[in-house]
Amino acid sequence: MDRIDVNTLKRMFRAGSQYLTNKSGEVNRLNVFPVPDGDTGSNMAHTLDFAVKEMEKASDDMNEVLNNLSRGALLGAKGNSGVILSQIIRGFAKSLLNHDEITTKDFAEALNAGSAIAYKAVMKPTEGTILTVIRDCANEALKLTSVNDFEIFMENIVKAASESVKRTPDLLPVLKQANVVDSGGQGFLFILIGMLQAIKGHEIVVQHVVEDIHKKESNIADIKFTYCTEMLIDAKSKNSSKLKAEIESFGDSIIIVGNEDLIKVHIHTNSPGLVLQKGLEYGELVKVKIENMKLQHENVIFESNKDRNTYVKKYGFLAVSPGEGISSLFKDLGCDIVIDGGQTMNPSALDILNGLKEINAEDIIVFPNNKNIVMTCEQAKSLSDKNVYVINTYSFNQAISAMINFDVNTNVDDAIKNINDTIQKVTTVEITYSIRDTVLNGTEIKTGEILGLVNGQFVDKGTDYNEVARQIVINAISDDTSIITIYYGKEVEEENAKKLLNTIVFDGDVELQYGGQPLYYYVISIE
Amino acid sequence: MINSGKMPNTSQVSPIEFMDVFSDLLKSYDEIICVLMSSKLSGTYQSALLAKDNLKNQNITVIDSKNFSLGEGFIVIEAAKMACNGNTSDEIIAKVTDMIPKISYTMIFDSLDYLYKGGRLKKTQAILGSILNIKPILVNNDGELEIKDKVRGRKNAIKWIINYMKETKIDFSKKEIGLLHTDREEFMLEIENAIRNEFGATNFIKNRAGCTVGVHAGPSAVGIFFEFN
Repeated sequence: MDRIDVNTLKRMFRAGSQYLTNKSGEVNRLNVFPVPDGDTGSNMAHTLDFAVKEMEKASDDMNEVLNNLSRGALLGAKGNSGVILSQIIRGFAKSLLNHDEITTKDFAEALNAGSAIAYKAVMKPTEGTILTVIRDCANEALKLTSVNDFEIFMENIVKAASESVKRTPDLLPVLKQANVVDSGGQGFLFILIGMLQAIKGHEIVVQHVVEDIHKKESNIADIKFTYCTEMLIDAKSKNSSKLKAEIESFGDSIIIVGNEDLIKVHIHTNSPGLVLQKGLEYGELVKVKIENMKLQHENVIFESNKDRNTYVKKYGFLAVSPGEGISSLFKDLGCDIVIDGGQTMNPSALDILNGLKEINAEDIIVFPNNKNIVMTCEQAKSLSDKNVYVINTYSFNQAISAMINFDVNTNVDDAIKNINDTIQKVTTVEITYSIRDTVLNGTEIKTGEILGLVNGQFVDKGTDYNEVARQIVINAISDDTSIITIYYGKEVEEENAKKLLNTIVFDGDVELQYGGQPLYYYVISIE
Repeated sequence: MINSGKMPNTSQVSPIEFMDVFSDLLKSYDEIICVLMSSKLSGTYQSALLAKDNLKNQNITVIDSKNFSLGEGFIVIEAAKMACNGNTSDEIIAKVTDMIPKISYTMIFDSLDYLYKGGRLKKTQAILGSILNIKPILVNNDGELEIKDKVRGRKNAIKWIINYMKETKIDFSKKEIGLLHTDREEFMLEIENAIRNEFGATNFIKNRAGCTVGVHAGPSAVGIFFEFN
């Protein structure tokens, strides 16, 4: 094959996406820190999957396919690697516009364009990452333009990518120390391998991927049965055991509970009428509830914004929150939109963009609250026509302090300056656990051991999270410290958190607050 | 000759009550100077004015202190001293009028709920407090409470007060400083200590708030009162 037509291109992207999805768990585990927040694979897979879904909406027009791929990638981008991948796809697609068929030379130039755009998108490009891998691929491809056959061409590119990935630890010391290759680079390699398979005419078999329990996937397209239907039947002790079998074919998520007289039925179905009819055969309907889950879904996203669009206020706020306790604090502090997402559930650029759309303010301040969400927010900003300011917060507690100190009466430049001053003064302590045996800064760490980080740097380990937290906090208190806030996570009992609270004694205030964040026992803000 | 406005009650003093008191006093004194809590915070001032109108007596002067509690007290004490020294009512009124805009108060709250509920704070002002140990700081703006800032925790609140006082460039070592609290004596004493250490101040008037202030501020406030030069 020495030409790629639009259908082959589609097959390549489908295969690349499927292969990456199959391997995303492997990529997730390539985390520099042994902390349980690796999700580069899931983020890249989501980004590419979103792009492919957009692609499928296009006709067989090459330009339409390329534009949809590009737009889909930009909107679906999650995490830093996802954002970089989306930029690669954007450059790649743009370079191929107005080609009916693609030669190896075109493809090489497109890879090169993708590489160039990706480098530009990153403020401080780091070598030893996906950036290095795409550049090495592009360089190799440009050398191979005399090869016309795509199979040989692509095989060589995959080889170059594979070698480039292997070199990443030599370029980036943190990778070497953690004894891993770069996850983004590895993810990119998997996409290329998938594409090569498609060129060879192979199908990528869908592997059953274990659902990530932290993922709150909520795609409208995924809702198979539209109506959540509930009814309470006064069944006069009729046997409800047959009812389940009778309505099973109408939908899924069936729950039937019955006591002596009452049967409660819950089902997701496209035929609520038929379900109710069956229910009537068992007795009188005491209560009926039918809800359209597609509409509900839309409501879930923008629940708190019904009457926000009536007037333009000066400042609007959007924050990403890793836990329910933190979300409610943000709302209390006047945040317009709070988007769920944290260490392991990065929102996409589209999620952020949708949030921005809902805010009617002259200037919108965005708190990503995670270093892996900053670029996604920047991408959403570039896709939005509003005045958006993305603050480089790597933890939510910085944003909380910034919001408390925020003065609506200042102009936006001063306001941003004040915010940045405020977040500089916040020390963040995080207590989590190790997901593998490793060595950090010369300290041997075993799987499951408690890790303590200060401003993202590993400082201490132990076996008891309260003890590790106490040690670190005591050491971090200075004469200037006036308030300590302990946000305890989902896995911590309030009683345990109170015990920690009581062991921290100093002359300022210590506050205990439910954060509800997963994986991190405590996030402690020292100010 | 002098009678200060009563310390605030939970219900505003009615015109009739003022008329009774005024009539009573006029039996033994020539003139009455009545200094009352800020008209923006209480209707007492209006009641007194009505009483004065009804009595049609030129020898009653009703003055809006644009302040409350110890701030109002500073003014009344000064007026009383002058009266005892034999100053004329014109002189006293001139002095009181001069003092009113200079009496500063700063109130630190744990929660503004009570102020909102009592209608003492405009709803348009940002609602904060009750979470994360945020302490709103309110100051006197022409008799009205105005949210000036908010800080987190006691230590930051004390820092704020000290900075605020420093910026006035007043020599507090010779100043009278009023401290008021509603069920926050410990915190008030902490503030007193900080002011003593920072400015060498020694002259404090300390008080637990009366009913009205207590009711409207809620059980979580500390106030600092002093006079600007």
